[in-house]
Amino acid sequence: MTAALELRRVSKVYGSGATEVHALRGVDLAVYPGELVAIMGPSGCGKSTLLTIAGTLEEPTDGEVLVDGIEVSGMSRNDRARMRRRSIGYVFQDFNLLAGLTAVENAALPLELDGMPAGRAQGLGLRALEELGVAERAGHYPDDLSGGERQRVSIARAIVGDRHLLLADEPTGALDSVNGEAVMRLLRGACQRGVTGLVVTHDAQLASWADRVVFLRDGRMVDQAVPAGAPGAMLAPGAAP
Amino acid sequence: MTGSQAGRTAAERHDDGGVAASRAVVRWAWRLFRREWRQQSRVLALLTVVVAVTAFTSTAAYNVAPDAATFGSASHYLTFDLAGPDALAADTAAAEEHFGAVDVITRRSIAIPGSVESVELRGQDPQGPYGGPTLAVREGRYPAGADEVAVTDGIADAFALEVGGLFALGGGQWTVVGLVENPGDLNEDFALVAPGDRAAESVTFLVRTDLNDVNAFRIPSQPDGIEVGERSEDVSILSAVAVLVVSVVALMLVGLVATASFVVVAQRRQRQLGMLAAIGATEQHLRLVTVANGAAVGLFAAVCGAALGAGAWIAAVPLVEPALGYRIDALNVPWWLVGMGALLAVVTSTAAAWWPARAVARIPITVALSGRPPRPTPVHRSTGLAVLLLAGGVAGLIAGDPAGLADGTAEPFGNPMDVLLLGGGMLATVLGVLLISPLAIRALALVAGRMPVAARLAVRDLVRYQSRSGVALAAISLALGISVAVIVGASAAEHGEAEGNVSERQLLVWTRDDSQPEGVSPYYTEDPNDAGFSPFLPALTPADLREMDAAIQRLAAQLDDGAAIAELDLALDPAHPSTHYGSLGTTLAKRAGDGYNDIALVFVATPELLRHHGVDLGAVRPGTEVLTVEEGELVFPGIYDPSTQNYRTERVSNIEVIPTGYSSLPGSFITPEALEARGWESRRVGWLIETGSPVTTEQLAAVREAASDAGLLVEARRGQPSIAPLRTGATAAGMLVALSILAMTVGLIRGEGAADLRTLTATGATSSMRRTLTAATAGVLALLGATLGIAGVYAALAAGLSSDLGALSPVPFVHLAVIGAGVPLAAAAAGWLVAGREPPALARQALE
Amino acid sequence: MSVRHALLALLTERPKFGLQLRQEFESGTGAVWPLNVGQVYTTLQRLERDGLVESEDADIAGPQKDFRITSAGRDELTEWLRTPPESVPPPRDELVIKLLVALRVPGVDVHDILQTHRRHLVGSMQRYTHLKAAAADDVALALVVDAQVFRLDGVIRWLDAADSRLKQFPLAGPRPPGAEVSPDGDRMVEGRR
Repeated sequence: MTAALELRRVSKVYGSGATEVHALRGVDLAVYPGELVAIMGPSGCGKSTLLTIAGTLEEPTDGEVLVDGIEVSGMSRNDRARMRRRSIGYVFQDFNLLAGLTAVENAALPLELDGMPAGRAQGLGLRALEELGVAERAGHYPDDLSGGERQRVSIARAIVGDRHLLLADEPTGALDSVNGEAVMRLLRGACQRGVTGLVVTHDAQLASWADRVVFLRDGRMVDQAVPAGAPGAMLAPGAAP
Repeated sequence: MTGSQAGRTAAERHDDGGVAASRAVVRWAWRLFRREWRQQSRVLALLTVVVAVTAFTSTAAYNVAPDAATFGSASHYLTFDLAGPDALAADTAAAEEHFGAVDVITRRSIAIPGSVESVELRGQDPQGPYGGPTLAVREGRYPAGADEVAVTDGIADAFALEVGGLFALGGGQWTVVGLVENPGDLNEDFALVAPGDRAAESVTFLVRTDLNDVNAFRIPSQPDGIEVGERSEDVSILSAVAVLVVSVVALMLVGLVATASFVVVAQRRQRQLGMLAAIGATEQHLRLVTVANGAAVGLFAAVCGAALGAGAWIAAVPLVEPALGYRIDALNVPWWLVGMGALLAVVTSTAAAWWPARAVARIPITVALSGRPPRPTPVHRSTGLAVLLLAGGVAGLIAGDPAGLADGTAEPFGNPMDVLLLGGGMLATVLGVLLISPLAIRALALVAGRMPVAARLAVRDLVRYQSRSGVALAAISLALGISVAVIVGASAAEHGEAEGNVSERQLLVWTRDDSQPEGVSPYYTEDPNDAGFSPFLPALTPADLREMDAAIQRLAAQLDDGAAIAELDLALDPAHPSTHYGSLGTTLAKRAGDGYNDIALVFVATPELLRHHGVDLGAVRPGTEVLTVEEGELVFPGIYDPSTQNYRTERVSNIEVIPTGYSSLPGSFITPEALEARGWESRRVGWLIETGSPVTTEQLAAVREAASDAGLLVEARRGQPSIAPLRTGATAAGMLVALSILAMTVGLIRGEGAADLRTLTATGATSSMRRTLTAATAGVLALLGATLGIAGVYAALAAGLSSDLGALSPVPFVHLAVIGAGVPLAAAAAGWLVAGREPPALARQALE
Repeated sequence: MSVRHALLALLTERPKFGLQLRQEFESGTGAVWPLNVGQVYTTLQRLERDGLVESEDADIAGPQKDFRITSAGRDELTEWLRTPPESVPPPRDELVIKLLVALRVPGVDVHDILQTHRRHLVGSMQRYTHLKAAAADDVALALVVDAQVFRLDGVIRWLDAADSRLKQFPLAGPRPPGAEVSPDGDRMVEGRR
């Protein structure tokens, strides 16, 4: 099975000489379709860098990044932009939506940027909003939406159309626990429908929604966790991949 | 997974998503503009003002004094004196045979008794083939019979006429049936009679043909002098285009400011743009957002400005008509030119957004998303290039003869080459100032070390962000420079404020003898540029003169209790033999070709006369022989040497040039000492009566009558268009642009410092610290700008007027002090006032 | 509560006598867990019986008797350090002891120990969270799961805090001079930078 996202010996160095900082050191990671993976680690461990490199926002100093089996590290800026439009959706902690566009326009934006006529794109955008339960807010501007609704719209945008790789950076960071849980539930639901998810966080509760938790420390992948332990007789084992 | 992309072949062809993507991006940019236009209101207002001023002035230039005043719709005119009453019919018949349609305009001049003026009796068919545009009826109707007349407002005023009244002059008598005017020249005064005036002295044929055809025409009566006029090319388009060229330069200046403003806009949107890039927008898309914003600003300003300018024009037409002296069709707006100006505004604004758009699109996405301002880019600009551009610009400005434009000796925008030179010069100067501004700011860094901490911080920031502060400084310098130029120009023109022949409180009364006709100006006040200046004095005995003196006293008393009388005495060389025509007055002459041309009569200087030129006779440098308004090398021509019985020309050496006054007042004087030293005499030729209040038309009529009886000629103020309101308007417009640029720049600086202020407040800085910081930033920029502006303007003017530095001598200290010290102080004070408030939202991250 | 393993850990440094072990145990745990001498000797005897320690001189009975750890003892210690606590959630005390103990054992990567526990805890948390995810409507279940999750989260946070504290002060634990650096020590060296 082709990994939806694969990182091979990816390294990233910022600066040079005395100010050289190794953000990532030879990271290997494969995320398979339908999987929800969390990258966990303290601040400064390189997890955000990993996400930006995986999402083609930055280029690795060394190593390869493959999205759907296609090597992206050597692509031109425009090709990478197209890859983002068609395959990669981002969800950030805050500041997710473009003010000035309604919820449905925000959700449909990647499709429109890719040349789809506005009407069709917004139809698909509305469908994505429906999936996330915010279809009734479709015509509202981000200013009028609550934090949870904004995050749902941004998830809708991340999975609109055929987009199937969802990268999230502390997606519940700005939300209270109830809304945060709802957002994670939606993310998990999306993955169960075939979307591939990669979440970076320092928060164990958030990470525990993932099928697999990868621990990152000083730019290295040091460990990973899958659901384990003996939660008790009343608890049945969950579905692990 | 990849199979789902199969249906996208159409879009694959466009890496950037094609039209649909651009539409989505532009839609977003437009929404942002609608949400945030208030934050860009300053640049919007500025652009709107420029577009409005452009639309207004280019329309005004398009409606320049039409040749139609003379030609109507004809292409040529022939004017000649008529040989007699029958010649008119024969000549007209011949002309009609030669040219086909001919418009015949007859003229007869009837002297106004006791005046230097006469009334022109014009015989013209209002329905003539070409002359229609030169006539319009304002009240009543055109004259139909030989005993009917229609007069202009000026005549009606002077003779207290109204429709239905009787007009009697020079032995003739007509019923006034209407009030008329020449729409092309409202200052023209005439009395219109029905065509075919048998007593006409001269006739004008208006024809439409080419010059060869005109020259081929032989007039049967074979008059002596035939004046042929050919309509010049239509200059209205040219001058309007010239205005547009100047507007382009103004727009460039505004473009600088707009760029600075768009940099702020782009930076404010940095995170949103990063977000857009993360979604998959290409660099082109990101650029498009900011460029579209620029275009939206330009579009908005263009529409508002064009409407405002055209509207203002239509509203202003009734006000400018008297000043310009011709009727204007308010709807005769060159829409394509206005549209061009509006289009230029859109282009300028879009171009101004290009650089910030490019810069912000190139910020790495992760940096953009972090919202951190990018590291300031170092400025590498060539000092040499700046100096070169400045030098070239000033050279262009000099060659373009701005002094000629300013004092009116050059036809406004008449010479396209001058306009090009001026435009190019301004362009190069703008660029030069732009390049040299960062240097000036860097020089600031040298003194920054000794300042208090807030001021030091302000200066450091200006130096750190010199690419941006340089633009702001360039804009301020240019804006202040423009207003300095306007002020200096206005003050240079101010001492020549006396316009026209005499003021409305002055009457010149000239002596004459019986051989001299009434109704024309006596020779000694004729325009010396016209041929025929000759200084013959009227043949009057001392007794005649005494009698006239007494008459003048009566006249003055009749006018006004406090009327002052100044005698006009001409210098006379008694040794000079009397000619056949009478004795000659002393003149000043100037070399012209092989010989000399008389250019002015020499009066005996008196304190009263010199006061009219702002000169105190007591303070004149000892040894001065002649005081004159004339410039250049002057001679006394034809000084008679009794020993050789020859005439010789003597160069006048001890000359003092004095400011000009009203044109008919004496302008050249010999000091009493010099008069005595040369053994010359003085001869009374006239009087200047100055009253306490303007002379009314009734008073004038009475004075004329009395003067006629005493054998004198009265010269009163002739109706003269005043350009004063236009100049005031131009000054106001210049100041408006300068002030809006300054306000806008201070606003920009405030926005720039907002983040720093937040940090400072958070670290416990008091409000006075914040105030000092903002005030120092604004004040320093304004001070540098004012210094550069004033220095630049004076350097350019000094270079341009190198032949006549005297024109700069009345330095408008007050105005310059206002700009040099007042503007920085005002900017600092404004900065101090607005920075007092706690910066809003210390912790809040605005959702964008 | 494992005094056994604590004593084993103290002996990994070098052979020690009973009294010394007691003093070092108490100072090493910040005197939170007082230990009487009898307890020490009973434990040591059991350890000797199980072959995890040995005494140099079987004849001397008393405070001067020197004990040394055997290789079986080392194995037992290592195994114990990596074994997750019995009950879930683990009593914090036990994790704390383990950490403090680990600090004394040469050749043991403390961060590695912390990560091992973190992995177990996160794994448990995942199991709970997935239960919650599967049963969205069951409020009672959600409440029970939340309670567990927050407890686990607290421990994980303590691990994280311990991790960064040890990064900041890597030599916090008493370590005799000349102790060998583990072959896997490069990471630790890095961590201490």
